[in-house]
Amino acid sequence: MLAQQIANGIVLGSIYALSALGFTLVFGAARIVNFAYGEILMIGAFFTVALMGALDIDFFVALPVAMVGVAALSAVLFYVALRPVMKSSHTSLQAELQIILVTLGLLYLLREAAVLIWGTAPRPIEMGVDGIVEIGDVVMTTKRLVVVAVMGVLVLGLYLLLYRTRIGKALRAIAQNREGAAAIGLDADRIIAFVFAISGAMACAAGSLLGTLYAVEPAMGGPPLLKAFVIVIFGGLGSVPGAIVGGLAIGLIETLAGAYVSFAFKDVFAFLALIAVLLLRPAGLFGRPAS
Amino acid sequence: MLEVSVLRVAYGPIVALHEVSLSVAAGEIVTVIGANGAGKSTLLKTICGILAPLSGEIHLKGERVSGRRSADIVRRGVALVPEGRHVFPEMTVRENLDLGAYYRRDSGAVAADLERVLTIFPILRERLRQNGGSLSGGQQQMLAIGRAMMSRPELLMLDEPSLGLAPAIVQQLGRIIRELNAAGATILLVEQNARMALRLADRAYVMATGRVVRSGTGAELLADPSVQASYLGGHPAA
Ligand SMILES: Nc1ncnc2c1ncn2[C@@H]1O[C@H](COP(=O)(O)OP(=O)(O)OP(=O)(O)O)[C@@H](O)[C@H]1O
Ligand SMILES: [Mg+2]
Repeated sequence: MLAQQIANGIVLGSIYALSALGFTLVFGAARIVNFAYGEILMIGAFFTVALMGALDIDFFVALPVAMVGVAALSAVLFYVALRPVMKSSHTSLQAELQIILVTLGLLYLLREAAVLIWGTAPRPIEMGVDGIVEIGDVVMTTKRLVVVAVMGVLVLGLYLLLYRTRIGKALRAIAQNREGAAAIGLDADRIIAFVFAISGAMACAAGSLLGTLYAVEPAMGGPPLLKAFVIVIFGGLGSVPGAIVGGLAIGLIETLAGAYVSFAFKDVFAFLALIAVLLLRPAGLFGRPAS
Repeated sequence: MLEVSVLRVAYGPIVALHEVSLSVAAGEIVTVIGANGAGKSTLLKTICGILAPLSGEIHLKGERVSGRRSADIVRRGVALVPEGRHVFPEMTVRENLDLGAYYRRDSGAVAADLERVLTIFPILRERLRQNGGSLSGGQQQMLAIGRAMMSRPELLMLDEPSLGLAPAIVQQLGRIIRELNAAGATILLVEQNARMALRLADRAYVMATGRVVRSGTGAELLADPSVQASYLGGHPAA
């Protein structure tokens, strides 16, 4: 029973980790809290559904295509909606407030657009993977195992991107020290647009996977955004390992608390864990104390 | 090498540079001194394209570069060692140095330049795999200079490199700046440590509240009573 709950927690945690990764990358590199992130995730899930329906293709074919599409959309949104605001404001407080307003505006814009285009009825995504897997006492649908595997592949890909490529190094440089990056001539706009693209791709994967477990609907972006917030604060703002560990931890805590304590209050335990972490490590599990 | 004419730069409503003109000839060491808030950092950031001027022009080797992106200006041979060093704290010394060569495609020459940097700063060779953030202040300054050198600049601009360093390290820094200059780099040095800077410099400019208020050779300004009173008075000999 315990092993079963832990397995369930890891599945949930994998999706949480994926959604938190895209959110934390943008915060880390651009210091932008993207309130529209949950809607990007939702649009990503709809892209996958729409592609599967229109072209009659498999989930595993549609997902990468949708990820590329959402990556492009996310980068375009940065260039069109956020960059002009960042350029035109003269103080950082002014810029921060305006960016919050713009991402909140995007939140409603994207959600209403989804309602207009796709309607409000929930649509399931058929992954096309059936059957169950038994490992010892643990019984799981193969579909859920695939969710964990997809998360593993994407995390590995992200790691290689950040640590093994030229643009990945530039991205880390910008996240670590904006002024240092400017001094060596790194083009912040281009690199941040790239971060938005990666973030969008991650959100699309998270949303589509959620869609295979539950359903796709215009309102689905709210909870993942809130979760991403909690996880990113829990793991450390802007920290990639923090998002992965934090996502898995919150997934586990919720599942275990839901199974053994009270399903209705499972979210309370996630927040209690958050408070405990912040009391012990104010910058989060993997966060750097502000210098 | 560098020609700055009637440059005007503002942060929103705050004008930081009024009508700044100065020039740096190839092979020179030129220094800009001035009190806090005089606009020295603003000047360097504008030269390397981080800030865009409201008006005025910047020419580099005869070509107009004002309004260009900083990536283009770095590619044209300008490097900045920013005030406060700004190394990448969670990247290794090696990664920091590699990033300095971000826009270069001549990997053979990059390797040679890395070797040269590590010869000038042996401490960086010892710490190659250590994170930038774990270095001492002086070592971080060496790293910031090394990182700038990795773009193989013709014009190396240093913004208050002596800030917060022990006197012995400041002296060492002075020697290194001379060496780099002797090896062919033109130097534009911004300093509050005016004595050190004026001793190194062929020529110097004094800035106050966004304007150039005096200029001359390093020796002239060192001997100038008003400069002594304003910028050398409180400082012990460095
Ligand atoms: N980001 C900014 N936003 C608004 N005003 C700024 C900004 N940076 C600098 N200033 C203002 O511009 C003026 C010039 O600043 P600058 O940093 O260029 O001076 P400085 O000569 O380098 O001073 P210091 O010796 O302290 O480094 C100052 O009045 C400063 O307050
Ligand atoms: Mg300054």
